[in-house]
Amino acid sequence: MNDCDDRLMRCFVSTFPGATRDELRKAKFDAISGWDSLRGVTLVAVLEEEFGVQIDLPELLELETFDSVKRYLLKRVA
Amino acid sequence: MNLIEALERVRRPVPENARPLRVFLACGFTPLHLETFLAAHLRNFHPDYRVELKSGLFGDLVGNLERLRSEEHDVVAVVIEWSDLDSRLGLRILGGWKVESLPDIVNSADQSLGRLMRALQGISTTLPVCICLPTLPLPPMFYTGTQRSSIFELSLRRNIAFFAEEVSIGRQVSVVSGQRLDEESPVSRRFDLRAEITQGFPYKTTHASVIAKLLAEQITGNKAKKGLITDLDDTLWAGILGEAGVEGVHWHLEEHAQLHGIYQQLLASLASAGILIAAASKNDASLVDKAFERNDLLLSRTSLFPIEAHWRPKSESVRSILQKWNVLAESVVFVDDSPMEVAEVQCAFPKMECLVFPKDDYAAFWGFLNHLRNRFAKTIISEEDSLRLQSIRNSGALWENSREGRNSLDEFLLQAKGSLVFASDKALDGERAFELINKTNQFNLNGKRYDKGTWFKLLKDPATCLVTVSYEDKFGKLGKIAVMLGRLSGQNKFVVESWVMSCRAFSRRIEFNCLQYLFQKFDAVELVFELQVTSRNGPLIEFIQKFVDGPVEQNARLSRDIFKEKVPKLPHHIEELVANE
Repeated sequence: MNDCDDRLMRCFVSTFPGATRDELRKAKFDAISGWDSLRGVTLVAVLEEEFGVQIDLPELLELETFDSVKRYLLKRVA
Repeated sequence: MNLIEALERVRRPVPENARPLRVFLACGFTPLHLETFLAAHLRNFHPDYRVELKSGLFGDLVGNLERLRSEEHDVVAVVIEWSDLDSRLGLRILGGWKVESLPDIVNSADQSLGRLMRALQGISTTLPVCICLPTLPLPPMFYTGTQRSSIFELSLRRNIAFFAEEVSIGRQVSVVSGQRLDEESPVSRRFDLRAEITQGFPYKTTHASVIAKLLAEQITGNKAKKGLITDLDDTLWAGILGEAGVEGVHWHLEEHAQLHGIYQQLLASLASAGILIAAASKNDASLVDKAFERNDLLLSRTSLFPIEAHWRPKSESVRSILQKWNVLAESVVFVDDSPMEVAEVQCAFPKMECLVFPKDDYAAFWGFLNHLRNRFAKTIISEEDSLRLQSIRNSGALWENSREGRNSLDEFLLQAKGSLVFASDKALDGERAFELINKTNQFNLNGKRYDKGTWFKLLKDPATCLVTVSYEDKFGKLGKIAVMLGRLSGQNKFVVESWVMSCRAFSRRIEFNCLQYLFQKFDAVELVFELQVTSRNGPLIEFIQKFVDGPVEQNARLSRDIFKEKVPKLPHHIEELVANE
């Protein structure tokens, strides 16, 4: 669980270097500073690489927050 | 490197005084992760650079190149894919794959290559260009099926090969090796159809990383080693000379010793490209001499200098070879089949690359051959490469002669009948000057290195003065051995920004001639040296110290009067090649 949290946070931090961890954990994607569609595509690619799952950008956008992405990944990886 | 590592690498802070490296990435697709990987790999190779990447419009590779403003960039990386040549070769445009369209697709791809060629030929006159040819599989558009090459596919591939050969004739254009790409990124793992359709980015991230790494290698250039020291027994040949005798050592297929023959063949090839090769062997010297009389050796005796054959430690042999070559340990590779000998030399020379010869492992041997080839990679072979070994041999004889005290240095230099040619035309040989500045360590004013883009821009600047110096004497030609780069700075001052001299030219007083030339050519009353003490430029500092009381400082100055007072006799004959301006 913690491992997933750390790995996911690393993905978010590398994609949004301007945002704080707190902001990344709490904010909705479109409220994160630096968010745009290009960052969305990058986040998808980083998540796919890190967790070995396939995610489409619209699917990710529906998840909206760090925690919901985490829950989604835990379900998919399991 | 995966994407997350690349993003982290790119975000790492650069030193405040980092030099910019402005790269234009030209591709017809969305550069997306390729851009990230390229920036990350460039940072890996050049941590002291601030990498600034720009790319052009989506879907217009040729147009991006045609519109490029060369003064805004230092280097151009071009990544071509099939769809850049004709959109019907990609999957984002539904242009049709009907049989009757195929000849037209080949024809229009050929026309695009022609346009690309013209654009690249124009750019490469002012900027270095690195090209990656199409790497993706062609779509299943040919009626022959995918197991057989159709005539149209063969035509496309022939035209690409022809284009690559033609475009790389220019010295400033390099093409990424297809073989290296195949090795590092298998064809079946390159194409990402989903990313292509949804994002306009056709590569899997692993493939994008490999392309970016190979481009970054081309852009930054590698630091080639200068010499290789090899063991003899069970390395250059199979068998122990002292036990088997001269006829009992082998390197041929029929004696099951082919790997040693291939190794000899590679060393001979390196020697012919100007790499220094020497031997260090625990052996009887007279027996080694006899072995080298065998005429079936692939590496001739004349390609090796020196041969250290005795029973003392290998590190002693290596030290003696480095002295004769006048080369630093870190510029040399040592090869021996004995892990113990390798460890002994490595311990004495921690910066030297020491390798165990993989005599019993075919796969490792293949990797070893490729590794050596890359360690000594060169982009061009110059006249100096063919002169290097002979001149080192000659200077060995030369200084042994003078050490024996038969002559004073004055008399000796007089008898050597040295001749120096100074050339101050920037168009004459910028390439050799570039190479010399970027690889010389010991007699180097400040250790400053230049990437190709900066170098060509410097040469284009009318204020920049470039002087190259060639030397020859009765012992032979040394070729171009010194480079000075600088500018006039009001009131008869000449600022020396870079000054290097090959170690082969040491102790001939050529360095004094260099300064004398600057004073005369630029009518200077004072030289200002942009000097920087490095861990390796002791010989240069020692030379400047001759003119300076007290410690040598960063912007050391030398007046014409002091120079005249301290300059020794300079017996060389001087010629000058005058600039055609």
